[in-house]
Amino acid sequence: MTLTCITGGRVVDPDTKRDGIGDVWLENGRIIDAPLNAQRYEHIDATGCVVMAGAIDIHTHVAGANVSAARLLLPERYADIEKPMTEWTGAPFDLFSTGALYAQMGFTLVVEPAVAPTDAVATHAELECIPYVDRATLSVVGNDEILLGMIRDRASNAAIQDYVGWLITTSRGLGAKAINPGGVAALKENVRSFTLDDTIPEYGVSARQISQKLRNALKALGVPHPLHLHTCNLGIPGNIETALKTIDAAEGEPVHLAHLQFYGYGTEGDFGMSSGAAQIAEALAKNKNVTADVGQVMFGPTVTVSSDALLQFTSRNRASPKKFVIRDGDANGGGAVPLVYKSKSKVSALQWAIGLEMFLLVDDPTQIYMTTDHPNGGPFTAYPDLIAQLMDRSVRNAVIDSLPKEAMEVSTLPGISREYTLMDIATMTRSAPAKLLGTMDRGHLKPGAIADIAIYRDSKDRAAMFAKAAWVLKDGDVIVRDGHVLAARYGRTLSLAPEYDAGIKSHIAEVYDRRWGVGPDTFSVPATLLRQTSPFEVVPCRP
Amino acid sequence: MGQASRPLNLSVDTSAAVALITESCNPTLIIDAIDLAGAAAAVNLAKVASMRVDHAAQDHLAPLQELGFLGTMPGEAGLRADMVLWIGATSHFIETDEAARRLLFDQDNLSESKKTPRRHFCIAAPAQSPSENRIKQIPIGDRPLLDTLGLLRARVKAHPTSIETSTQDDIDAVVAELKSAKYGVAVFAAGHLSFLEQTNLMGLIDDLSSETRWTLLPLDQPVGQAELARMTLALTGLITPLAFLGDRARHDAYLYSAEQSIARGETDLVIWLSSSTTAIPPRFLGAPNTIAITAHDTAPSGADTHIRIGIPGVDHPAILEPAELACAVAITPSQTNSAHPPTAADVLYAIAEHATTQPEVAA
Ligand SMILES: [Zn+2]
Repeated sequence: MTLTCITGGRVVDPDTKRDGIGDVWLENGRIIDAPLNAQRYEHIDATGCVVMAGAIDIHTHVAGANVSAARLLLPERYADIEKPMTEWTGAPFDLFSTGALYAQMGFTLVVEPAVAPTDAVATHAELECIPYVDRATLSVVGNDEILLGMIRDRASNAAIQDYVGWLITTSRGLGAKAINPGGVAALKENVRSFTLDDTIPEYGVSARQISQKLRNALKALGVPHPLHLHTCNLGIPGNIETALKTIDAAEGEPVHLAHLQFYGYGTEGDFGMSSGAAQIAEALAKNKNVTADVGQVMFGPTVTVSSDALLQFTSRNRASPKKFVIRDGDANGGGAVPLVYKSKSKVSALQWAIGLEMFLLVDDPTQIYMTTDHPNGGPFTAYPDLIAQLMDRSVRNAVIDSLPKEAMEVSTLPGISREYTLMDIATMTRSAPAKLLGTMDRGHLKPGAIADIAIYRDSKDRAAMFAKAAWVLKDGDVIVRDGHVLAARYGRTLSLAPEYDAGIKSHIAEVYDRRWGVGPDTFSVPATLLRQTSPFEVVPCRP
Repeated sequence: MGQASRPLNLSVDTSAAVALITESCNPTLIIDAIDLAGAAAAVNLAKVASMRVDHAAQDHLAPLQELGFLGTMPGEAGLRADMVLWIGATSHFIETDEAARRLLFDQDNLSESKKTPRRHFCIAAPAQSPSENRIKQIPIGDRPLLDTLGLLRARVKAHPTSIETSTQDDIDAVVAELKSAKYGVAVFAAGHLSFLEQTNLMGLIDDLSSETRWTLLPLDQPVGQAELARMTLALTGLITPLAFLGDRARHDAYLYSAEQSIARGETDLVIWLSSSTTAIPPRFLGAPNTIAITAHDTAPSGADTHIRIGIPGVDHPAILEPAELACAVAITPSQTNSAHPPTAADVLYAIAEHATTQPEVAA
C-alpha cells in the first residue's frame, strides 16, 4: 500500500498527549514515523479538520438471536422504503447499514457484547456481513448450568478457569460478559426479582459469587478485558443501592459495568424516582478498578434487546406496541421488548439526564464510555447528538428546557457546567476503549498502530461534525469520503485464544450429552463461516 | 451483500437459469430447505436480480409477528419441564418426532432437585390424541381447540362462563393443575394450528405466566426457515416475503407472498430452491416457467429447468439449525460425496454474477 500523509489537520491523540496541527504518516495499513525524505506519496489535505484514531464502540447489540427477534417482531418499523437510512424508526438496522452508518461516523471497531455460546456460530456469520468496521464479541456466561454447577459443587478455581477459557475460545469472544448472573437462571424457577446476594434456588449460588469466580478466572486466563457485568435490578428505581454494592463487590479488582445509567436510580421525588448519578460518580472516583459505559437514553421509539431474560420477562407488559419475544435460553436466553422514550415522560426525561450526569460528573474519561447500549437506550446513530450535548452546554440546556420540570428537579444536570473537550472525546471513544479491550494497536496514532483514522471537518456544530466524517481510513484504505461510504470492504473479527487445560472437556461432554445428546464441540465456531476465508484475528492475552 | 469475491468453479451449467431470470419481469424465489450460506446467497441473488423471496411455509410466522412469543429451547424444556401440554397433533409428535419424544417423553431426566415426575396433558381431537396413557386428555368434548383454549384462558382469569357446571368443574381442575406447574411447556406445531389458535395459545401461556412459569416450544418447524429468516433479517432488516426494488427490500406479508403472487398470476418465473429431494408443492406450480434448484438427481415434477445441488451437512460442510437444538451449528460431513454436487451458495452466486432482470416498478 502506498505511503500516505495526512497533512495540516488538528491531531488529537490522547496516548501521545498530542493536540495540535501536524501530520500523520501511514504505509501498509499502519501508522509510521515521518519518513526522512519521502518523494512520492499520497496526500490527504486535512486543513481545517480534526484527526483522530478510529472510534470504538465497546457495547452495541448489532447481531445475534435477540437482535433477529427484534427485527422479526417489528417489520412495520422498517417498512417505509422512502425513509432515509439514517432515520431511526426503532428496529435494528440491517447489517450493511450498521457497518456503513458506523463508518460514516468514524468508527472502525464495534463490539457485540452478548453472544450466547450456543448461538455463536450464527452470530459470527451475521457479524461477518457487517462491512467497513472490524467486529468483536463478548461471550455470555453466568447463568449456564455448567458454571453454576461448578460453583455449587465447589469446583477448583483452575477448573472454572479452564471452562471459561474453553467457552471464550470455542465461541471466539474477545472477553466474557455476565448478564444478570444468577437472576436469569432463577427466573426459570419462577423467581421474579433477584439481587446481589439472593441465591438461585436450584444451585444455592449468588450473583456476587458468580461475578467473583468469573473475575478470577478471566484474570488467571490473562483476558485483557475485565468481566463485563450487567448487574441485577436493571431499570428499577432504588437500584443505585445495587450499583454501589456491585462496585464494592469487585473488591478492587477490574470490572466493567455495562450501561450504568440504567442503575443510577434513587427513589426520591414526586414520581418515586431520582438521580443517583452523583453517588455513582463518587464511587467511581474512589474505585479506579471500575469502568462503565453509560447506556444513554435518547428520545424516540426503540426496541430493547437483552439477554437479561428476567428483566425482559418482568417488563413485557410495558411493551409498546404490545408484543414481545422472550425466550428461556440454554443459559441466558433473552428477548426483545419494543418501547418508546418520550421527552414528555418524566421517567424518560430523568433517564436522559442521569446518563448525561454520569458522563459529566465522572472526571476521568478513561472510566466512562459512550454507549446508548444500542438499541436499548437509543440507536448508535444518536452519538453525534450526544457528543454535542457533552461538548456544548447550550445544546443540552436547550433539551433541558423542553423536558418536564419535575424530572429536572431530581437531577443535578441543570447545574452542571462542564463541557467535554476534543481530547476528552478522543479518550472516551478511542484511546480508553482500545486499552480496555486489550487491542493495543488501536485507539491511538503512534507509529505501529493500525491505520484506522477518522478525519472530521471542525465545526461548532459538533453533531454535524461527528455525524459525517470527511474521511475515514480503515487499515489505511479510504472507506468514507465526505460523509459517504465508498465500496464495501469487509474487516476482521477479533477474538482471543486463552490457554486452558482441555481436560475440562470431559465434564462439558457429560452435560451436553444429558442436555442435547450431542458432543462438546457441537456449538464451536469454525474458522470459516459464510466465506471461504476466515474472518478471525487473534488478539494476544496478557502473559 | 458482499460475497462476490467467492471463487467459482462450477461443474454445472447455469446458463438456462440465467436466461430465464434475465427475461423474467417478476421472478419469485421460493425457498424450502437451505443452509445459512445458501440463505445469504439467496438474498444476494434476489437483490441483484430484483426478485421476490419467500419461504415455503412463511405464514407459520405470522402469529409470532402479531403477538410475540414466550418460548423456551428444546434442551431447557427437556431438562426442566415438569408439565408438558401437547396441543393439537399430539400423536404426530409422539409417534414421528424423535427429538420431541426423546427430550420430552422417553427420558424423563428432570434434575435431582425436581423430584416430581413430569405430567403430560393434551388438548387434541380424539383422532389426534395419542395412545400413550401417560398423557391425560383435557376434556374438550366436541368443542373445537380454539374454544377450549378460550375457555382455559377465561378460567385462568376466573372469568364466569355459561358452560354447564360439571364441565366448568372439569376445566377448573385442569386450570388448577396447569397453575401448579413449576415449569410448564406447551408444545405445538405452527403448521397444524390456525392463526387464531396460535395467538390464543400464546395468550394462554402469557396469562398462566402471571403466576407460574409457562413457555412455548414449537416443534415440527419448517426445514430451512430458521436459516433463511436469520439471514434475510440480518441482511435486509426484514422478514420474508420480501421484494427487492432496486437496492432496497420491502416486506409485505400479502403482496409478496409467493403462493398468492402465483395465484394472482403476477409471477412469470418461480425459482424453487430446496437442498432436499422433496417434491415442489402444487401451490407453487403454475407460473409460466419454473426453475428447480434441488438435490434431486433429475428434474422434479413441474420444473422446466433443473440444477442439482448437494445436501448441506451431508455432501458438504454447512451451518444448519437442527430442530432439537434450535440454534445454528457447523456440520462437517463424515464423508464427501464423490459426485461433488455444488452447494446452493455456489450455484446462487454463479447465477447472480450473470443475472439481471427488469426491476419491478415501485408500487
Ligand atoms: Zn447491552
